[in-house]
Amino acid sequence: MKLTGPLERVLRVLTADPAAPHYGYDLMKAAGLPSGTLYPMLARLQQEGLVQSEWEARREDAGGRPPRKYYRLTAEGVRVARLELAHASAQARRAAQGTAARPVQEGTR
Amino acid sequence: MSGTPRVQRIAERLIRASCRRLPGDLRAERCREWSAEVPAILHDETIRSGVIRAMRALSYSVGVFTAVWRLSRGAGRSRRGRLTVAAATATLLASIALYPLMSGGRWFWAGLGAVIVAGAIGAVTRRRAIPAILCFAAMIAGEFVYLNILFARHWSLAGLVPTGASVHHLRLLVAQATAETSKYAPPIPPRPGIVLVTAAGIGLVAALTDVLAVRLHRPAIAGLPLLVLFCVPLTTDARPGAVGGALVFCAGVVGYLGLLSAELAQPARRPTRHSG
Repeated sequence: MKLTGPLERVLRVLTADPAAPHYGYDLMKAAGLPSGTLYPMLARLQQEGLVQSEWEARREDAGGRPPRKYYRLTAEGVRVARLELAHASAQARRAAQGTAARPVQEGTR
Repeated sequence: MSGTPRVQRIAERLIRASCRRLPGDLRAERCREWSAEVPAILHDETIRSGVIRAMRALSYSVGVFTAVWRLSRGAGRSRRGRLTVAAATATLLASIALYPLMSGGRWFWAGLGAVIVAGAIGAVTRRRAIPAILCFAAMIAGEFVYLNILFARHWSLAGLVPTGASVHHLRLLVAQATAETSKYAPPIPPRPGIVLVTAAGIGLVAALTDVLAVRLHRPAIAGLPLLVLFCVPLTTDARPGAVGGALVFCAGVVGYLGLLSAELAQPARRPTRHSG
């Protein structure tokens, strides 16, 4: 899996609370992505078994609103996403150290 | 606000129009999913201005168009690649049925080249929006150039481009093949003329199979040109032997079933390890 900027943002939103289901517009707002980027990404993650989707149960209090499709990470998805995000953070820290040209003490951030 | 239902209608219409480009089994589900998001945007409490909400909903629908384009492009490409390989394999397996007609294996390797030429030209021409008949014509032209290189290289321009002399040579070879088939009983010795005619036949079947199965998405009908290869030995008094004949027929069936299953396989609907 290649961790691009948009993918990283989506994974951060999804891992924040892995049990919470998100619908498409919700994810778009939280990750700041247009629908044209988000849905193909979700489809790919789903194909790789990292994300699962389910239809919302029809509710009486929904006021005739059509049921939505909700996405969340699978157990495997949580594991892979956390690993990738940790890896990306470590890399960003190393890069920051490189530009600062002096060692940053552990625990300062 | 009175504009909201109208915006919702426009957004839903845009989404439906975009979804039409998706494969059949995804279309209805995706259309439902995306249409259900539109009310959420139009009634988003965090956005104060109704105009901005309407703009959001419309830009969402336009984004869906991009999403469909990306989804169908990815799925279509891998699926067509698999179909192309499946069609070529089916032709090749069916061409084994010709083995009682000729001795030696030269015809098979020439046929393998013809199948590859048809598949490669099919894969290239499918990238553009060219009518299927022109795809087929391009394959036939490609087969002609291929056979010309294989059998009349010394008469061609730079060993590649067909000339009057090379075409004349190919015609001589065909005439020679006709004479030999009437003279000998099968299996015929693999003289250049026979190999040329056989490879041309396999190439024609490969081109038909590829256009029908991949370009026109009719793999079941692509079984007809494949069947031609099985019929050729029947029209002669070739003796394949009971076991050999059954094995060859099984190989052809495997190729055909592989082609059918490649069409039915939907990469986007592949069951995932953690589907729920």
